[in-house]
Amino acid sequence: MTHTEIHQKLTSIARDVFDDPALQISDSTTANDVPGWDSLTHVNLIVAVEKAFGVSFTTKDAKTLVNVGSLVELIAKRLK
Amino acid sequence: MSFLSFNFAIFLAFGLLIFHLARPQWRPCLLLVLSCVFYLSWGLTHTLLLAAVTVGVYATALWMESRPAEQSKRALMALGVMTLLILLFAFKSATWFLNEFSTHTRRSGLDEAIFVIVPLGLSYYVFRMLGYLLDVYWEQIPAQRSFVSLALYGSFFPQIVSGPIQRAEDFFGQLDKIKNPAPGDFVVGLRRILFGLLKKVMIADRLAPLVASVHANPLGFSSLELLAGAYCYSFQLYADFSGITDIAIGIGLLFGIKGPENFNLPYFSPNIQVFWRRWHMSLTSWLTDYLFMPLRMSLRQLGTTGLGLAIFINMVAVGLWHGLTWTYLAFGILNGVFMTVSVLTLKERNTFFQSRPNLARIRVFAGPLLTFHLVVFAQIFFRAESLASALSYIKGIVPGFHPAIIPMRRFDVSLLDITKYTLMLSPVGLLAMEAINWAVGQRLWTDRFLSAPRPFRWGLYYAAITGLLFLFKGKMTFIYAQF
Amino acid sequence: MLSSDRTQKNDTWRSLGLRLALFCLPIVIGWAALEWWAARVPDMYSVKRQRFQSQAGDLDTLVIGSSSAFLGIVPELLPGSAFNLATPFETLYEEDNLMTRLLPLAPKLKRVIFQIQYPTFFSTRNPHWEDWRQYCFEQEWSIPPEQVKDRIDCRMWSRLALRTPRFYIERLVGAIRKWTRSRKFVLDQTEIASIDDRGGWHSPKDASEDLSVASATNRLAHHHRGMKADYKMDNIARFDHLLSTLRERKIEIIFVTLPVWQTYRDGMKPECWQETQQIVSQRTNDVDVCYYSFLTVPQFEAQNFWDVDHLNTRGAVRFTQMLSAAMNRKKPDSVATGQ
Repeated sequence: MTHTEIHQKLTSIARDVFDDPALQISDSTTANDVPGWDSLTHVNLIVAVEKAFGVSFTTKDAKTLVNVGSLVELIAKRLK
Repeated sequence: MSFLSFNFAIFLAFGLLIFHLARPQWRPCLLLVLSCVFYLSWGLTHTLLLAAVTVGVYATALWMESRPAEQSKRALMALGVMTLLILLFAFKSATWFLNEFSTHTRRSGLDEAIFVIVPLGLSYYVFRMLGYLLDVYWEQIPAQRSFVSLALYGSFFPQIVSGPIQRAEDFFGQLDKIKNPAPGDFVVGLRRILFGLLKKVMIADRLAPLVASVHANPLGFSSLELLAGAYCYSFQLYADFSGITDIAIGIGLLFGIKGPENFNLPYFSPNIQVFWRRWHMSLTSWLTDYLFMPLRMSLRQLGTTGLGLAIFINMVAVGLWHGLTWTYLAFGILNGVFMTVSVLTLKERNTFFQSRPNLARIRVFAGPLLTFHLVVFAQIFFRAESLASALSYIKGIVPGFHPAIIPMRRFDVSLLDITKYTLMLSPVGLLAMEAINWAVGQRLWTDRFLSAPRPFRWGLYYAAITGLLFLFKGKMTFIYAQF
Repeated sequence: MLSSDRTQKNDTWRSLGLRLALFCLPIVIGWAALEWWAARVPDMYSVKRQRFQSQAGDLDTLVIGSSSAFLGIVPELLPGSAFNLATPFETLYEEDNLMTRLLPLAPKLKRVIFQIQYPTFFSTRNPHWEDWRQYCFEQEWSIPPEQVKDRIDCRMWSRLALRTPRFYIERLVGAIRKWTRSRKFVLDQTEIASIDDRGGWHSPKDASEDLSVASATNRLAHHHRGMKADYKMDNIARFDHLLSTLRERKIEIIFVTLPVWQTYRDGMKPECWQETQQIVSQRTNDVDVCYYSFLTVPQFEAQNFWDVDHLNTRGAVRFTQMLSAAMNRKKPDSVATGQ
């Protein structure tokens, strides 16, 4: 999967998890920029990503995520 | 020496003088020496314990970083974390044992078998070191090569008594500021200390006798009196704790270190999860990052149950961090229940109110009001002397459960160890305090204050200091210094 | 660029330093003025010292002890010219040092009445024993605190820190009020144990407070919290030093135990009291050291007690009369072996 494809899929997942059909995310988007994205829902996103892409993350991975861009890279790494 | 007392004030004054006159490259070391002197005044054995913990964590972190294999990294991390937790648990449970069996030890003779005093700031420095270790394990920060820096982080005296619990990354990032502190920070620090002292002396200590009398004997008071006691405790706890946080942050600023905030107008939170993001923020964010997240990650396959469980365990941990007693456990469980229910039904509540705009307008006021009352309710357990006492307290408030002798609506100020004047002024005082808390964060108001003529500002400061000296009882005891 | 930044910063630090110094100046001056004022406000320790010093030249009897003696021994009723130097919560360390310092001031001193009560040999200055009082001894008598770490404290020299600024501000306001009314500068002694008697005795009035078992339990718990077997050896050493100091001057020593109410007596640990009795009886003789224990004497009824371990005025008078009679009869030893 390419970077753009991952990004597209991630956007649709995020729209579902955060209940916002019009949500737009870019590589530099962080949790602060999205209403409803906090420590309580963060893992919901992780779970949804894991299910959709068929990958698995560790706690260490979750800790290193700074913004959407790093998530996309992580997914790409895991898919290899 | 007591934090705060006249001795501490003199210690601080001398410390600051030496610090600011010294060469910049010596300052971190000097600050460490000051922290050591402060801690030594509380006992040599406990200082050695703190030193041993620091050495152990320093070595473990460096070792962990030098090992490439994931297995050995994890083993070292587990070793470090377990040792720290056992240490914390050992001291906290020793006091629990003593409390449970104290009648026996006192009757058995003059010699007390064991008298274990919990080291000063144990909960705070253990958490700081734990956080540091985990951050190095998760590769968020490199292991600290300078022992002085790590030792300073663990023992930083303004924050060791009552927090706030600053993160290693945040602290280490400010080390350069110690070498060259800004004069502006110094003045902000002084103002912060003054404000913290005012909160403590003018509000918290005024309400303490009332709270003490109702909690000492809940069955002896009427519903109205117990209710007043519950509200006043919430005010007292907030004023006391935010007061000492202000003082701690203020003193840190005098040395160039900005500590993390602990409060953000918590009693105006719209729901309980937001409350816990605005109350004792340094602790709850610590637990979120180091307990809740890993827990949630490992429970993520359980879906909503996993979320609920993680929240519940997290809140129980918040309760038990304060002490291993039934009341703190009850406090944790209550908050766990409130949080879980609130988080799991948030979506439904939002949908409900979205289609009813009139109710939504009421929700703006009702939400914080309800949240505040949930908090007051849970704090009854936090303060109560025992679980039985907490339950009688609650029974006393609910009309109908109270013994018939005391009329429900009686309000006898003389029994409450407080004057009518103080009682009426305290909510006003608290609101004023919150207004100032809020204004300090607003550029507009700080600019307005700073542009006021100097004699006016100085007059205010002198009035505050005179008032404080008049009310000061020699030394202060803070609620959160016992944890 | 760097050097100009630094000079700019230095200027700001310098100006800050100056502003701070200016700001603190009134506070420092005010504090110093209050300390000057505080040194003139009488308190129990300063009054005792002044009265002792004015009578020291003629004194032949001195009473040393803690609150029991402070309330229970009336100097006027003792033979000769007597002074009651006892203060509440006094420890053997302080008593030993007091004796060393005061003996040269009292050339005519013939006898010392020394109070021995239940906690005497097992207590020392510790937080349960009102440890702020050690600074009163430092300020009035230049007797430093026993532990070196306690000597690094601003209360060694600061009266405001010892008793809070508010205490002295209130005295100042009261004195000014009195001056505006009567043009006379009178200083109150409103501290709890204001000294009524020229001889240093505080008359607790004839009231009787709570003498119940609950009250005794509270009092005993309070004493037990400060009592430790570890302190015994050091206390005995001080005790012996005190005895030898007095013996050198050929001063007669009279140990005395004041009566306590039965609820208190019932709660005393027998082993502690027996040890105390042993220590004292080993040092008594027929010549110049004797011991009168009034612990179990039946004449003291409820109306003689102010609380479970202190006599009231009536009790103090009766006690002192009985003690004087015993001293006059020169009865060798009346060591009671009661609990």
